[in-house]
Amino acid sequence: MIALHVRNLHASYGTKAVLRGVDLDLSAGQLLAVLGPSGCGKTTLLRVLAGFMAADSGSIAINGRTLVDDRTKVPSERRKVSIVPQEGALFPHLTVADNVGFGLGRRGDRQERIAAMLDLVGMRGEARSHPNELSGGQQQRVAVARALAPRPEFVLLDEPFSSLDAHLREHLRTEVKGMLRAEGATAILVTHDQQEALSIADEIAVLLDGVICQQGTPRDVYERPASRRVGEFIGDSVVVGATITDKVAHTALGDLPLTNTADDSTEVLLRPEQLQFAANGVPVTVVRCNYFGHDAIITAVLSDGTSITVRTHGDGTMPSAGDILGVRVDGVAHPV
Amino acid sequence: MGAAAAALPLLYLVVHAGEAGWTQSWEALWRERTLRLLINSIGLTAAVTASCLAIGVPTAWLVTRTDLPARRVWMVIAALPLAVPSYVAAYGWIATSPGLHGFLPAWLILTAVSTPYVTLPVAAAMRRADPALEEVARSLGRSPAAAMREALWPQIAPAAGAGALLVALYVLSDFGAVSMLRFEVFTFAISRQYGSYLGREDAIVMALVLVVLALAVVWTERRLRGHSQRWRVGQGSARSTPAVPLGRSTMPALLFLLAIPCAAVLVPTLALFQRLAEGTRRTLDFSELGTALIATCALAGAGALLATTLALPLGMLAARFRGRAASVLEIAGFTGHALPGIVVGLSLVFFSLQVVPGLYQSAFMLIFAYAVLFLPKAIGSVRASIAQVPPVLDDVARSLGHSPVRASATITMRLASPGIAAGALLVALTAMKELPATLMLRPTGVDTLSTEIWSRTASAAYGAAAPYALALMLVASIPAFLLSRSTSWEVDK
Repeated sequence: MIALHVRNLHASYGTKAVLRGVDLDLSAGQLLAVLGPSGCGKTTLLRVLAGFMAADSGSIAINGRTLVDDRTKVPSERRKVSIVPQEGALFPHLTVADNVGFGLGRRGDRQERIAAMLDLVGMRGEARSHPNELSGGQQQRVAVARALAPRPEFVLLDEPFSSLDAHLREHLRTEVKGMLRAEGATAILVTHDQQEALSIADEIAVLLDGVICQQGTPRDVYERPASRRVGEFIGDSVVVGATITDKVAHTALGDLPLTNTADDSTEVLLRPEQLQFAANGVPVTVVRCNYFGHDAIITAVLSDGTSITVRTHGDGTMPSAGDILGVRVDGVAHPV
Repeated sequence: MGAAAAALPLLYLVVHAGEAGWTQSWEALWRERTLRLLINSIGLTAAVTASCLAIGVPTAWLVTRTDLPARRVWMVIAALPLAVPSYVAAYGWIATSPGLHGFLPAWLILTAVSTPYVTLPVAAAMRRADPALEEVARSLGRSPAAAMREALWPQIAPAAGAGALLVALYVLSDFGAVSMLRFEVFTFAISRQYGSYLGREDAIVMALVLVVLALAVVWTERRLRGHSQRWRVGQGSARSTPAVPLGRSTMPALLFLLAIPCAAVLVPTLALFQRLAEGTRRTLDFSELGTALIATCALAGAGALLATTLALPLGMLAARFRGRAASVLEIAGFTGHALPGIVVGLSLVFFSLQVVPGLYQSAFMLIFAYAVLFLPKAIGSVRASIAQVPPVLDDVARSLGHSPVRASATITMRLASPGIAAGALLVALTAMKELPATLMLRPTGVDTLSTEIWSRTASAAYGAAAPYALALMLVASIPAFLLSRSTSWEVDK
């Protein structure tokens, strides 16, 4: 069942067009990551969805209810769309419990719902604390609880983990995914962090220059990017020239099977982990070696000057610049 | 030592009241007149504070959150009344309609000149306020008005409270306007008692009551503020709030914004120019004006220098060390803030007469009075300037072999010096406007701009006072302009 429909959405700041025809579809209970570099318009998209900013044209509908079209603009407070802003933005003058209850009004099950939400995010013991007494991660948990408490139609998460340190970020995003799932919430996560999007989203929409370039599952987007630009944005890539005949790409790295046929493509995209050093492979000259502990990225050039990167395990012997090694490709190439 | 200097006048008043005999002082206190003064003072203070809040908060919102044309210009215009000393505004209005006196004009004129004390800090707080809080409130079902009340107001309430505190202290210690408008509050009554030689003991008792009132105001504000420490959670998102479109309300909003500057600046200035034009029949004595200007600058400059020197160690302590010493200082600063000019003047008159007669009516006593009165301001600017310098720079200097003293002298003080100098200039410009203490303590034969205005209006020579008033407003508009531009308008805490 489709929960969110966005069609041909345009928005601008003054004369500068930021969203230039965005289309999105999202099924109920799913987590969609809108992924894009800074300045691509992802925060604007979120603000238009929440109703903080007006769209120039286009339509938004949630569960069959029109929020925005040519004649309608439902104000923020009647959209039932909650947000989790960057750094939480908890109300500093209210306790944790009152923050969580902010969207609940005076309904009868208020206290039960607050307690349930605090249990969900593991903050029961801090109900009477004030936000300034909490750590950054705790504040984000409370912000998530506050957003989920009124059972919104969907939740918007605006780079909610960006202010946290790397270890906590990884931990918390898995937790938050669990919280959203436990509540059956439909959510949109806006982020510039590819790892974050790939690891927790059910679907990823890549937003570049105000347009959704591709929407699909994380594997889809990573393995079959819609363009070279999307492919290079989503992860480390190796792009080599190719002539394509009969579902086979003829490249400097050898003849490679393809993910699909696209006869007009002149390049194919590979991921560094598809490349491996092998004695009988295509000879390359090592240029540079970046060691990361668990793995290493080795940059090398082919005899025709094409630059490639190879991801290897960090436990073997590391080549040094100038070494000549053989390279072999596993798996399929993707024409771009 | 600086703190001791600030506390000296107050201690001396208490000691003196004790010497005069507690029974006698007690009798002086329990008179019907004291009750009347109390009602008048509290009534005027409460009325002006309330009206300043009622006008200042919407003004701040208009100049920070709406699509008002030329918002920045309106911000400066809203700050302009700071350039007008209350007695100059009162003089301008009296020159326009000579019969003005009593509560109502005092209320309106003091409201007009002190509204910026609320507008500026509230506008700064609105700019700092995290827009995400209001947005979250909207997304959780609040109307724009409810979101403003529940999410924006708590963010700006501390600033509004601090502004209201400044207004209340300003009104309690105001001497010029209430005297010109003959509205009997403590400051006015104290100067009258002081003028009649028989009543000087009564003046001391009244001065003490006035100080207690001022301290009560400070205490109330601190209580209301309560847990202001809660007001820092994260940095918030660094995003400006979209401007609220005013549409058809633009014209009424502009008229609203004009009302206060008109009453505080435009009407008095026009009156001054009119009087000036009439007064040209008598030639303006430029040498007299020049002498007064030089005396004003010299005295105020020396006062600012002394205040800043005393403030250096105190500001340093307050900026770099938290803890008991710092909070004692903070309280001392507040006490200094709560001391009306007339009380400082009065106490220093008695102090010099009885303890150091040689200094009575010497320039030093007046300079010292300025230092005591403006110490809190000076501490505020020193502290803010030093706090801007990252302490790690000092640590680096220490690690490179500088002694602590040398490190702070060559690094921290060096980097903070432009800010400290600007603060000293502000103090000097403020001291130029000071009236009651200057009247009491000025050396014989020396006239400043403020005392010239005072003595000329007292003898109804309105035309003769006009050039002095204009010169003073010109001088005072400099800090008003600077303050309106400063984005971190910090109320000295």
